[in-house]
Amino acid sequence: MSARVGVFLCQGGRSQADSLEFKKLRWTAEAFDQGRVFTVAHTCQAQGAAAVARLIKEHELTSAVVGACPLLHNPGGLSRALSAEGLDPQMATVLDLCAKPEGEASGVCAVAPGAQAALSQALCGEQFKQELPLEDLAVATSVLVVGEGLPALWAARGLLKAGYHPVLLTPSQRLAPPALLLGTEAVDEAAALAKELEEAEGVTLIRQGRLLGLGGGAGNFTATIADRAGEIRSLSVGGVIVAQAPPKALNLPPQGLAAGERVVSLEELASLLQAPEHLKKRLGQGPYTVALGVGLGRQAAPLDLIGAMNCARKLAAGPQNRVVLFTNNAKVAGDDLEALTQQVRGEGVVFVKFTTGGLRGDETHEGVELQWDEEILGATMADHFDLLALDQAPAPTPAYHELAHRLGLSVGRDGYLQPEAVNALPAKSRRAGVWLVGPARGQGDLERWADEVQEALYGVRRLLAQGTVRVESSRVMVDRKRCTICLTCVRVCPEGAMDRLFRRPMSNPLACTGCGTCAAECPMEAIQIVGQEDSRYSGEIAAAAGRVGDLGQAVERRLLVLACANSASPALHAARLQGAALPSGLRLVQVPCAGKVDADMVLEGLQRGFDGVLILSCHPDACYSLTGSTWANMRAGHLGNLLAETGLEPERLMLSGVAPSQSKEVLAVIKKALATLDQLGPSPLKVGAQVREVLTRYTLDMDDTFSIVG
Amino acid sequence: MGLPKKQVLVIGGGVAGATTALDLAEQGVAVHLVERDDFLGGRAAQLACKALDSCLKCNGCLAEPRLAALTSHPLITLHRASTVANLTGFDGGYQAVIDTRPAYIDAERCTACGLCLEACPEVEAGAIRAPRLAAEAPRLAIDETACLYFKDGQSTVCRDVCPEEAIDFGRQGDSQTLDFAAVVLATGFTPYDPTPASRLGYGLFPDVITAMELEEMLRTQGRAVRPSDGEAAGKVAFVQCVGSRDVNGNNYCSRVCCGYALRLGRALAARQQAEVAVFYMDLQSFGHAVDEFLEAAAGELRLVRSMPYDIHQPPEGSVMLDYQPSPGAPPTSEPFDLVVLSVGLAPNPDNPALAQMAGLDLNRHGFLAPGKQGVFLAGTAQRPMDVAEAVASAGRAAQGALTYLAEMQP
Repeated sequence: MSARVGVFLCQGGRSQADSLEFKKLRWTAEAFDQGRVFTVAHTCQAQGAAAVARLIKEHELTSAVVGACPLLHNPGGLSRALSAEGLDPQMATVLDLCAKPEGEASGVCAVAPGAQAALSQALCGEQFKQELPLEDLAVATSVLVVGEGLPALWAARGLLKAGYHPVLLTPSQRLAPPALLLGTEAVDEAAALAKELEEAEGVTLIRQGRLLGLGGGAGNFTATIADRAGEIRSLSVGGVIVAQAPPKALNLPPQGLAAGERVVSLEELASLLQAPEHLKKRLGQGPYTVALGVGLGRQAAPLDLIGAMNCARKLAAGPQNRVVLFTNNAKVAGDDLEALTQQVRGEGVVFVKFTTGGLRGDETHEGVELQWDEEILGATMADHFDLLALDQAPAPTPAYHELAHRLGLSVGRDGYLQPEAVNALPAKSRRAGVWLVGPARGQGDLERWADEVQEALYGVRRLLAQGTVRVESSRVMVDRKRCTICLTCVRVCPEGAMDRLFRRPMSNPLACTGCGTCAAECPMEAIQIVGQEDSRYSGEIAAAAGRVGDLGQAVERRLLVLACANSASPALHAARLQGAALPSGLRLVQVPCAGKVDADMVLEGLQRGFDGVLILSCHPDACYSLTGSTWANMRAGHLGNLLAETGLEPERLMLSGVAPSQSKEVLAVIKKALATLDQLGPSPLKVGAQVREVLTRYTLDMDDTFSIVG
Repeated sequence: MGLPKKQVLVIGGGVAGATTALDLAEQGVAVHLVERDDFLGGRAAQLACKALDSCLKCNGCLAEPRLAALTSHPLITLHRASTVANLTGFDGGYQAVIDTRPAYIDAERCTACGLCLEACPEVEAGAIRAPRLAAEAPRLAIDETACLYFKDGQSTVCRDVCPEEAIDFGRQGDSQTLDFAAVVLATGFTPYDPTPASRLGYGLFPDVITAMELEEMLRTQGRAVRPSDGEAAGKVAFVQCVGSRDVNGNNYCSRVCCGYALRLGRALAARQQAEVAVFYMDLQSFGHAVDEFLEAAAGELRLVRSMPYDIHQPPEGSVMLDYQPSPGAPPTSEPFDLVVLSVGLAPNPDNPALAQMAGLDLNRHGFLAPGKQGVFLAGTAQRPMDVAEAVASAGRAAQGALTYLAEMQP
């Protein structure tokens, strides 16, 4: 069935229907042959919205373009009115077509400048709207959990409780290895949980296992795992929760000290304290003088301080023991840690904090000789300690890098697996269907880790449901004749949504967000996103350029803004709601993500006579499609160089990051771009564009004449 | 009384409440969300973007899309300007009385022309307010506590000026009783009020502001200015641990202040070439790539490990900050254009009443503690956390509520 589009034009509170501008808008709408035009009063208000919804239902329209006033328009109201009529709330596109003329009383609306181009642009977009069939996909209900310790155990138990089949892959023999929190409730909890899972039915435990590969994609991964005996098996899993901490090494102060018999980790000290005979064997009969160091090299986390204080309290409880805790920043940002620190001090543990300088020293046969600069006394201190115990910092081994690689992820600069993108918070990874929680993500504390695990479990529930997921079939179309299987799309997809089926790239509808980065990056132009085809954007840019003959259009055709739908569009919308007028000479085309903007779109804009193109993306690392803005940045840089080679000023292509809350900044960015164009002067392509356009129109008119005569 | 419908009450329309409500609604659960304020958004909607060329990861923008989605989800019923007056448990569910304040401005008629805002003599005091979020509707609301009409009964200038006759002071509020299977409390925190600590000069001197006020200033004006004369602030001090880590006050670390102060400081240094000093006890930042972050901050800002003991501003002069630059050094007095107090996250003053109503306990600092069947907690109602942590905790609340609903007898 062909689309039936309703075009709803707002005629304002008092009649603006007689104005020439409104008539032109109406003609533009009527020229669109797949639609029907309606005029409604106050589309922006509840009554008008209800009227729109009623008309959509009455005329059995499949989609709608609704012109409304940017000052008032209430998308929430319209989607509610649509749901009230039992319609899809997403079916209507709201366009800012009205304006309140300066100095006029309230309720007097007018057609916004550039409304005609905006409407024809939207109608062009409408032609590409396509509803894809829904399909029921079968997904695996086993979920792989990689890691050991509390977060991994929480995840496995949560999965079991929610009716999924957890496969727990632990790097060592134990499910709950001794941790820093020795002697606290958390350790008992981990031990009890490990026991519970060992005895539970419906859990697969693979101890000392190694992940060899993770093929497929969200919903249907194939995990290849080697167990302790070296036997390899393939498992079908719907999702993966990674809770495995990177291997750690002593967090040594910058100068002089190295790991040794008397320079140990807090973890080792904690286990010595569990068994007093080991402590005696190592340090002789007490009393002991022990130095603890937390965060002396790299920054520590609250969990490290808790571990150190647990050890310190145990030692301080021994008669005549002496404990000094050295740190740079006491990380007390955790539940009741401030109070605990005060209590531990009260129990006789001495805290030494450094602003500059630090701890130096040498290990001897009997212990360690330490020196430090005492800031309050302004003197260098030296003392003997039987033992120095330090926290640990990530020191990723080749095996950890390999695990990351097998998962399709990478180890970050800080040694953890967390990606740079803010929008991967709180628990996502760079690969859809793979969650990163707890010590795999980064430093944290138990509360944060517990929340991350539950957030991941919610993600599993959303992805896998009861084993069947109803989903729109894939929007990513790969032209087999053009595709050379270079797999660029597989590499660039921010969500890891490009799978390979029979070696050919194929998009996974469970993972794809439709950002279009793959289509823009494909060197063979083999990829089109349904609804976001290249032809749609060339059409929209042409429509946005308007026609030379239209009064004022040529003047306005100065800056083409390609705006990200997630950041720049909301920011611009907010700016207009706050009453700010957009500068003239500006045309907006919304893209799903700046990652979709390719060279063709930029060149189309320049060829159509725009003096410059401004790409508005999310800030790098704050992209709503994780890495789309990063790709956009790289592409724009490259394209700028190419423009320079052709003799065109590379400054005509601009890119700027904007957050959705930056309604002031987005206008400043646009004004700056316009100022740059003022400096550069009109584009040399402008005249050519106008000549071409007039010629095209002339020949088109001839065709029309002939067809009428014929 | 029949078995309750499987719908959930979410109290609080900030980022945690919004995330929980969306998570539940996306799983097909009907949600009623009650927000005390006239508009949604809570504290997270006050936060400004602090990005330089690239994102500084303050996590503030995690709130934006979630709050926007909230306004249009068909399974979510929003009760703005509303409070839960009573919550009674009965077998397997809760009955809530939701009181809604009168909407003196008729949203159907109001065209947000802004004439009332221009006419209102008390607009500075917030008598007529506009929302922070672009997706919000209605666009304007009258606040009874600041509006003169509710003091003298005759100041009707806004009503008189409204061309749409949308304002009616005679409108009545509304109260409805609804049944719920589960309740989520996402009632958030309150920024610590530094007024009582007079040595910090807040409320006494115009150019001493709180970090929340700076966030709002950056969000709405795009730059930091001195309130006294509206000039861009060229030299800015941040004072950490205001209302945190205080044995005589809130004896806990608020967890987020070091992070936001360093990011705000870096943004001011980069965007308006401000000279920024941060006065601190311990830098609490931890989490993602923290060494790199602190190194960059140390390069761009002056980090001073010392707490100022007095802040004062002579008339027509800059704010003076008295502190000891390093242990043993003589005290010094330094002028700043703007002093920003990094206020901590204090428990919501309504927590005792909320806890009593929902049958919960308070923890030793006055935050809500979990424990009641069918009642779930999300966000900073439980403890200080950043935006990402609030989102994670909202996911946990949703996950808990969904599991709880599934286990309930049909």
